[in-house]
Amino acid sequence: MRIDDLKREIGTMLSGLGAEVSSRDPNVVEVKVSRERVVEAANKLKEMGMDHVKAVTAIDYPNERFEVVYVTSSYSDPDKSFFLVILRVSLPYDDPRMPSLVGVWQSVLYQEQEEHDLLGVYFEGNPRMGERLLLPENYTGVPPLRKEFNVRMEGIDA
Amino acid sequence: MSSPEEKELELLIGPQHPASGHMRLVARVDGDVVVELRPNIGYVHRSVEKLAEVKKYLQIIPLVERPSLADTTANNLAYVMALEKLLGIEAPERAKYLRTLLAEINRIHSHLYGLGIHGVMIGSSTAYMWCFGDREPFLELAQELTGARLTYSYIVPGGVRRDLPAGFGERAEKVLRYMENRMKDYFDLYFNNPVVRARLEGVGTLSREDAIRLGVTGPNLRASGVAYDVRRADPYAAYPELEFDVITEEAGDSFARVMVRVREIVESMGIIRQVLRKIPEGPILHENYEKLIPPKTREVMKRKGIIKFPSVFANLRVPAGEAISRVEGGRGEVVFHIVSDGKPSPYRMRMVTPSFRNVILFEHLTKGARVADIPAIYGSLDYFPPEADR
Repeated sequence: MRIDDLKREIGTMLSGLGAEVSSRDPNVVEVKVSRERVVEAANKLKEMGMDHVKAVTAIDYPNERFEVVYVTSSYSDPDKSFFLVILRVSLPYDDPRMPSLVGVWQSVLYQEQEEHDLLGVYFEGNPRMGERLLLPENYTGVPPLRKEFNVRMEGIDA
Repeated sequence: MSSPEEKELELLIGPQHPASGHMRLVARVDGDVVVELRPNIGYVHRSVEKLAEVKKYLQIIPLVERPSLADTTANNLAYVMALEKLLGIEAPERAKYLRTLLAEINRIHSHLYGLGIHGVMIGSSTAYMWCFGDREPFLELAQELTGARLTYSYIVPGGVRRDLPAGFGERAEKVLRYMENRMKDYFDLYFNNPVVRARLEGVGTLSREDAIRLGVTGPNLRASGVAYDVRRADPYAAYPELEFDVITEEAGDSFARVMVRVREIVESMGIIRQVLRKIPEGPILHENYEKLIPPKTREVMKRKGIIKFPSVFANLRVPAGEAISRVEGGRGEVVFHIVSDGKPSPYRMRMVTPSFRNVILFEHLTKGARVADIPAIYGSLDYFPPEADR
């Protein structure tokens, strides 16, 4: 299977969802989709054989937007396991909420919780929202992975 | 004990236990049957992802190694591969073979570590002592190659830090032959032991569908019959030129997970032999960087087989963009996602380690199991707490 075929296949599957599909060599297909349509898009990708999520990354662009990136691939279809399909959602900075994809891919359960814990992105529908994963239970303040959180230099700032 | 609510009670396991390390398990039990078990990770969190944003690219190499002390090469390699994708360079052939060599030595001693800990968890301290003892020759080999015992920092953008020492092949062969003979003892004492079998067979069974659905990785995935190995799915380093099998087992129980790791040790020894036979001559650092070293230093360097870094490495600037890399480590797939904005530090670095992806199995496999099975299942997952926290 060649990457252009996969890109075309994803393009047809996701037509009507307003998704932007692009690809880069050698094996990455990128899908940009709005948060309203992300669950539908994820379901379509799962139907195509993208059966698990390798990484959930949230990226903080201060006062501009949050980006949440799901890196998916296939275990069950050996032809597709070479490829990484990236699902990218852009969220407004003052309202970083999106529907959770835990109903589509159960493998995101802990990863979404971690991004919630450390970046303050809220995934609606994930049963672990509001629970701490890595931070202390009584932690208050800026989520530590946000850009406004400064790492203190021992002996200089603290 | 009349009403159903009163029948269940909460049992806390950890966070400090000789067999579990820094791991706290919160179990709800009914009698000795586990109703629900929630792993509580985060006791050894090192905030690697945040620290990476204030460190320079080369300083991050030792940083990403720390979380996973038993399997540092996989993290080192995955991180450097993501950098190389952004830089648009590829290591020379000889460096690729050396990377493979270290990765396989590391896989063997990481598996032996896992088997040893598993032994102590189900009460076989002999297995623990044997595995840890036999891990030593492999650590010695890695030390001879890299100069460090556990945190090798051997792989750098564009190549590796040192060349193969003279006479390495013969010493490696001795170690491999020793381990091959030793394998029979392991089966006699441990794997074919009726007690061990009774504790592991049919315990914590993970079906193929569940393994895929939960996004499990590494030997735990392959023990459920999914033939997925990054070394074959998305080949890197020298793996495309080497022959090896992707080890799978069908049963999906604790014993199958242990067996996959044991068989992978044998497979890795085969890979080490091939690497030592096939390794080509040539440079060990990409020419772009090598030509930045002053000619005299370069001569001394070539003679000694040790790289002295050109100063450009200290302030290595990586073009803006995104890169995702994956590597098959001892415990499974390591994924790095680096977002660069062209500055000397990454804008965002995401590091997903195999243990973090496997942590979901604690919940899944222990449901309905006996309390006594918890250590047997835990051990068979080859779970490494600091690696899940990062």
